Amino acid sequence: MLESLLDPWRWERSLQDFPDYLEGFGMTLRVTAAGWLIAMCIGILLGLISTKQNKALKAVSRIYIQFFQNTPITIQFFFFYVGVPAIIKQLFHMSKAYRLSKFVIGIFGVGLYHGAYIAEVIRSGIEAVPGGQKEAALSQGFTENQAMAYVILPQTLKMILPPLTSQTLALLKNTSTLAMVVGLDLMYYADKSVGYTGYFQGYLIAAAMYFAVCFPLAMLVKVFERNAARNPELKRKKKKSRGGGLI
Amino acid sequence: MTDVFTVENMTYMLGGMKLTLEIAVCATVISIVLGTVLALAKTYCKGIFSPLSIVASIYVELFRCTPQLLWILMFRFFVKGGGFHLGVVSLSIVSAPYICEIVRGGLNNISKGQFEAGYSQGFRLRQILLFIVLPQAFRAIIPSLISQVASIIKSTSLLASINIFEYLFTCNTVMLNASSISGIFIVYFMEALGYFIVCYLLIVLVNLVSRKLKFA
Repeated sequence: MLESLLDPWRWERSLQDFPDYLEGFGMTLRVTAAGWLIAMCIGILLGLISTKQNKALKAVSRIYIQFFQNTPITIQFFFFYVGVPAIIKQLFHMSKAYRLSKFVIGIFGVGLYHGAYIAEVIRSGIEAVPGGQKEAALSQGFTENQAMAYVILPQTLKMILPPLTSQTLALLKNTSTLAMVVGLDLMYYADKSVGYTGYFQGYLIAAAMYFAVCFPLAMLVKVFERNAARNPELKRKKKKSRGGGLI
Repeated sequence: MTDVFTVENMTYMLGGMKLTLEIAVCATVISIVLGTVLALAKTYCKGIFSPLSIVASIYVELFRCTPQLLWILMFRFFVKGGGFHLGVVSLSIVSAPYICEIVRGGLNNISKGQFEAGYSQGFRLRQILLFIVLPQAFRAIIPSLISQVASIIKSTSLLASINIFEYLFTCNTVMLNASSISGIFIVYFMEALGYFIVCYLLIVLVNLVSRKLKFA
């Protein structure tokens, strides 16, 4: 095993596919960026909704969050890959199957899934700000929305930065699942190259590339955690971790 | 719509669910053991044993900063034996670092006094860890450990990529053969519902346990 690991010829052959890897890496980063934006939009919207009093809206966000947190992300990808094209085909009576672009599958797959996790992060961040803060703001003549924007959210931000960053990290890692639906991302090209050459070195190259982006993010999480721990004002709630939102 | 509700389809999908749960249970047990060992190494290996702690740290950081799917695909080259074997081994190895971090959180909350008290009563280090430290650490982390198990169950869906006939794989086969929109939708919802029921039950368990821990 060690012999085949260190075999220079195998490494050389695997590295010949490096341009492919770079292309896939670009795709991974693009999907991560766009998927993150979608996830943030959904997360902020649902997170704010779940702190409001409206019961119906609250129920909707509850159902959304529970559904996506308790089903694997792979289901979403396969649904966009298999289900949605078939639906489009039948709806418009098309003769040929319509395929969504991989980029679209990717950003909606990770966006919808991590939106649910980010919503929970934002909700718990808002709830961690003591109720007296809001009451104080209201008594000073702030409206409900002003109190949220000027008093509560700035305090929330510091609190939610660490879990938000680790969600970003998980999102980046979960884009690799796109490879299961021929996603043209880094994982896909690595798998293709390995399938072609038969040498597992290709996976190690991909691992190094993922590590190069993920490790700084993981370090960032630690830095933010240390910063957040310095803020004594906020209620220290024992957070119910949901496994960082992996898969 | 009726085309998906055949006896063959249902038994096929239930068989997939059975395999998913079997793999998840085995992988959970192995990864908890492995994760605990890693956490102990990371926390308590000092002095001449510090290389062990460094090795554990490298392992944990490496696996936490790379996608699980990558390793699952890679272990095809190293693990001999059938699909079940491969699924359990690869899933345990990729889940152990996450369990390690959870256990470490529990261990960090245990004060040094516990060790001193143990030593003063004539316990050896191994006995202290086994009878004093680990029981207390595990008690505090049971909720996050259970939610990690839900995460492991969700991760089993990755095994579809190495042609293990677990729930996602079987459901997708049925979905690809469905001929109508309603058929596709029904399979999709059954697929989601299968995972949802299992994971949601675990989350309910988390809430029960954490309430109980709060009272104790």
